[in-house]
Amino acid sequence: MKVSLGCASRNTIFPAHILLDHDLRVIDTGRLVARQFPDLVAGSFIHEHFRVTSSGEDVALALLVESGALLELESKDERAGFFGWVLPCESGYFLVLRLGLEDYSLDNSALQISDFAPRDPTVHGLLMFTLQRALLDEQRQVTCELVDAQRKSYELLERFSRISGYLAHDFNNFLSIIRLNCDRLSIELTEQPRLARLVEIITAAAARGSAVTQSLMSLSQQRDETRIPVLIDELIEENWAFFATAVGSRVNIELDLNADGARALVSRVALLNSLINLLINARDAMPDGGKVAIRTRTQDKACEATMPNSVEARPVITIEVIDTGEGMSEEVQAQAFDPLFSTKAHGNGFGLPSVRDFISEMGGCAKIRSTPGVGTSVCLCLPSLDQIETGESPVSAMLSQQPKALAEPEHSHRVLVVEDEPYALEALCELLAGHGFEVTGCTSSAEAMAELENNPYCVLLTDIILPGESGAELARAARKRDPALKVILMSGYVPQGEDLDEDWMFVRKPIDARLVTELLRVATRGTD
Amino acid sequence: MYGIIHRVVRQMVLDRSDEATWARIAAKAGIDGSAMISIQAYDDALTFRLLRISADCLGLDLTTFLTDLGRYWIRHVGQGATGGILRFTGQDIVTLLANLERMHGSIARVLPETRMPILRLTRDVPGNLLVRYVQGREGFDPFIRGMLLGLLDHFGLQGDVVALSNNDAVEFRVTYNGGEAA
Repeated sequence: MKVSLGCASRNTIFPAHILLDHDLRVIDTGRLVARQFPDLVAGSFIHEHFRVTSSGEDVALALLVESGALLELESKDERAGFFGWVLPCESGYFLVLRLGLEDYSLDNSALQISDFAPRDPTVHGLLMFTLQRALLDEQRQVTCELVDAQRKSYELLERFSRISGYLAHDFNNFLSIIRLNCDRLSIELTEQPRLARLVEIITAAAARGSAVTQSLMSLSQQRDETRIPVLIDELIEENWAFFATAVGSRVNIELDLNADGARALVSRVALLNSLINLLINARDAMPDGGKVAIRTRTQDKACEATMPNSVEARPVITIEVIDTGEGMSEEVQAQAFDPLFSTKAHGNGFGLPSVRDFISEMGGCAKIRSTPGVGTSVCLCLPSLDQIETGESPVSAMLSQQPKALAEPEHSHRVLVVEDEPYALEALCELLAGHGFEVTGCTSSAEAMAELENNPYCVLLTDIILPGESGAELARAARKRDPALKVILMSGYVPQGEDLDEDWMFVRKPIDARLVTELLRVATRGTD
Repeated sequence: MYGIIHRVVRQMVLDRSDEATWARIAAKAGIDGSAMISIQAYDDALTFRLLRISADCLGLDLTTFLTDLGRYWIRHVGQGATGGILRFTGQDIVTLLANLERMHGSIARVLPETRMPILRLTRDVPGNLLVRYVQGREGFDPFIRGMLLGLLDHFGLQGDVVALSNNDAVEFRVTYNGGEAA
């Protein structure tokens, strides 16, 4: 078949072509070839500019005409290459070519859309590749912008959190003053019920104000670190109904409480949260129902050598949560306390690690024993405070009583109170003195340290936030000097990074004088 | 419209003013980073709101703002990774305008919701061109004029673009470097 194409048609249909005479000299080139190789002028030999190959081997054009094999033209300067076919024509050879692209980048390319045939897919390929790169660049930029916006958002949140913490602290200080002085007034007004009633109203309003500051504290992500002596068996018994709700109706919950009168210095809320976490895990291990038991007991010393030294040397209270669920393999047990590890489909892996962290902060430890197909036991071990003797009121019972008027003097023990708010210091000292304690007040840690160096004290009751060194730093320095000194910290705000030693008691402001008094009694027991 | 136009608007505002001005515009228009994804299609109402508020905040009438935006558009896409696309479309103004529809056609395959302006070179006498704009979106003629001015800037040509309304289409006369009037 013979086809006749004029120059314009050749350029439109075959923008990359080379027309050669029988001696392999260039007659004409398509616009793409002309633009890419402007020195490929009419009359020049093809071999001066290109290596003519097929399948990588040098070949004669005439042979390609006969065989119909693919032609490859590689420019001698290695700038570009073409591939295509050789068609015989009257004037010689018509090379129908396509640009062989090694690199689809248009960054430094001299190519133009019009170099290609109207529907040449190479155009789409080149544009798509370039567009994709542009979008990837943008994605990088947008990611950086988002990260930056997120960082600014966190900074704003942190600033807000800090400010609300400071506000709560200051407000708590004022509420403390109101509350402490109301307590003082209550003692003075026992014979004047009408005025006593007014004092009750002021106290109640201060308590509601305290609830507001608690909300602010939650916003500022303050920890609830109120650590007081807690009767473990009593705590579990009080919350039995709540535990039963947590495990659901298909699981039987049993209590086996053998730690009567045993107390640990813990945060009630955090301990309850930990038990709930363990009960929920137990429930999830028994999808078809089963039994979970909470068992408590006391031991003279820690049960296993792997427990921290601070627990080994002291009597402990153990709380075991035992289920009859599917159990865990050794491999799973080894990872059970790892953050983010979970065998549940929608588990977040935070439950057991938070239990372990809480127990560690309280000076205890947690241990898992499990047998696949039989069940799992999680044992929490807490250092035990001295046992309460039978008949003696626990802290919770004392708090429900009305404040006493100036009582008959109790055993006098020296208490050093450190509080930089003078009105609060005055009220607290007077109240404690009224309960028979020998109280000295200081308004700074420096003043307190000087006092401790000159006089012996049984208890250090200090605010955390003080001018100069913090109350926690004061407590550490004081304990270094006198390891027998008991420490009770108080504050409306615990600054981030302020760690509390495991055997320090801590009360939140506004100060509840009855709670502080009870804690002092606990702290000074046995020091006569 | 696609988010790329929001990005170009933002960049132009930042170049002419400051972050605070952009923050004010974004707040008034009700947009944030999520409206800045180039290949994401957004409601036209959002884009028009952004354009109006931006013009207002820069103290420009909408026509002037759109013209400036069209001119800035060419400068923006002529840089960076998209610069290669502009060069590939043409390395002189006549070739570029002749290839523009083909380039838009390729882009439209990737961004199917896009409504690229249809621009056809009806007279290709160098220095005195006629470009027919088949109206895609109402009110965007100033933007197209701006784009054509931007192309003159891109190729380093001194010239002007005049809109000649013609029934259902607008024709733009592009004269440059001493080109003769029609």
